[in-house]
Amino acid sequence: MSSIRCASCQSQLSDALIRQAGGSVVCPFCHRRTESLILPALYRSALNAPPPLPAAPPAEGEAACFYSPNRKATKSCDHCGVFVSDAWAAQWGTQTVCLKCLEQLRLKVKDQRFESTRTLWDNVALGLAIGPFIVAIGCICTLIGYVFAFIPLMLTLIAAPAAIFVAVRYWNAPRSIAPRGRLRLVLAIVSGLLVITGWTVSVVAIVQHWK
Amino acid sequence: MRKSFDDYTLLAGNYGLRGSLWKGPDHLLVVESKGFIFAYREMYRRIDYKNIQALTLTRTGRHVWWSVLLGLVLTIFTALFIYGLTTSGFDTFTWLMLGLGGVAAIPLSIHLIKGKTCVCSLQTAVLSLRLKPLKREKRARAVLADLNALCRHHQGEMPAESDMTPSVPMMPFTGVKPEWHGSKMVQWAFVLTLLWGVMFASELFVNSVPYFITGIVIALCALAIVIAGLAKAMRHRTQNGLVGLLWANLVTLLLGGLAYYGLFIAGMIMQQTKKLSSDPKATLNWIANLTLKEASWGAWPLIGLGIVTAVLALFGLIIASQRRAQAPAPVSNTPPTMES
Repeated sequence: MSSIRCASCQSQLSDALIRQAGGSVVCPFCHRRTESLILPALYRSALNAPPPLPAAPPAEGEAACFYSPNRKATKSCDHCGVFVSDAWAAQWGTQTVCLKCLEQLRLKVKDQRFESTRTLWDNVALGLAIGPFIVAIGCICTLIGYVFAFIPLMLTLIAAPAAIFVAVRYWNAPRSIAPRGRLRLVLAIVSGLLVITGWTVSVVAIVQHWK
Repeated sequence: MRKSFDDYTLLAGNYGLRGSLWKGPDHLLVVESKGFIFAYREMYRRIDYKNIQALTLTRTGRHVWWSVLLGLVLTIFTALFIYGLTTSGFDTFTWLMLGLGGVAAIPLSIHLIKGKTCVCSLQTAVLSLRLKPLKREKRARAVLADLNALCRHHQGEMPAESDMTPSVPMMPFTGVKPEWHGSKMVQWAFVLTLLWGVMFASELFVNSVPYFITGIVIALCALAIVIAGLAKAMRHRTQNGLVGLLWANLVTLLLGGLAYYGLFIAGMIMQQTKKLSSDPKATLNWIANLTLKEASWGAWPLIGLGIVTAVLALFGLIIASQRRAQAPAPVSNTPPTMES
């Protein structure tokens, strides 16, 4: 019996039961109606096939795996060209890459097709520039915590220059995988400059007042 | 947000914290985001259409709560607008309430247009992935239908009924939380909240400092256990009734704290205006010895909060006891005895 997970509580639901009920059942754990679209892969999973036996060493004249010389090479890496066995190859879309290349493409080269994670520096800069104000407004809105609004407002003394630094330093860094412009970086710089101007004017005004 | 780039077409989502789903030529690109206020990091998962085993949609009741909340805000502003209109005509207050009511109507309208809420997930042989951008049923159905067609195109026809039995047992998924049916501590949290609710409701009828302090101590203990219970519930799969009641108890306990804070501020103001002596204990004595008559119009919301808290805690206690009774017996981790 295969099973489908409830999207809400992750409990296991029987696929046979779902098929009998026309794709919709009530989850026995969270009591919510769950609708499932069961696909052929559920019954043709790679897990259904027995794992391949350890490959026999390559015969005389046959290509050996570059990383496991006792295995027969079945593929070549589309990136570096070495011969590899099934155990050392990964299918990535239409490409076959060896596991070393895959790691390098994902973590070091940062090829967009293989990339697994990315820091959004434009959002970091914008967060530093206007984040403290949003937190301060949040504190004021809670009525009880309005006194704590002072803390994020004081933080802007450090956050505003930091926002300008991050925006300038990562001006050319890749942004989200879905392409977008530099509006956030520009906003971060403008907001940072405004905050610094505000602080400067306030300090000068206080000093003048004391004199 | 751009609707397409390279070989990808946007299915759902945006640049926000929920991430987005992109339709690729042979795979689905799931963009997951992490951050606070803004998304500071994106994680990318590429799932081949040929490996997707099931697409699941579960309806949730979140839209009801949002409708109630947004409707309540709109009702309050409308009531204040009508009150202003009948008492003083179109003055600044009335216009302000009309404006705020109009602003409150916008999110409610958008919420109602977007329709019912749901959670969706995608299942492969090794993971069950929550599709966070799909949170509205109307949109989710369209996207899932699109994905279903793509997956079927890449996977071919369904096998015959006789071939629908995998030869290996189900593999345990990674990242699936274990079940939790509550604990004795949760039951104690409900007992303490029940006790505090009764004490809070009767506060204005019992004029005693020790009674007041005992109530605060009980409330603090209950708050600590409720927070601990919620923290545990977050790390487990729990049935909705129990978690909902824990949240409700947390809210009522915090509202009680807010009421104490309000009374404390009132006491401070009375000290400033010389209505109370400047002795630090005077405020405490004043709050503890507050009577129904002195509390005036504020008495009934306080009594009401106490009753609501007690009723919710009672429900919680019943549900927690039921859930614990329904919990499956713990599996013994002692190996079976060796056969001779």
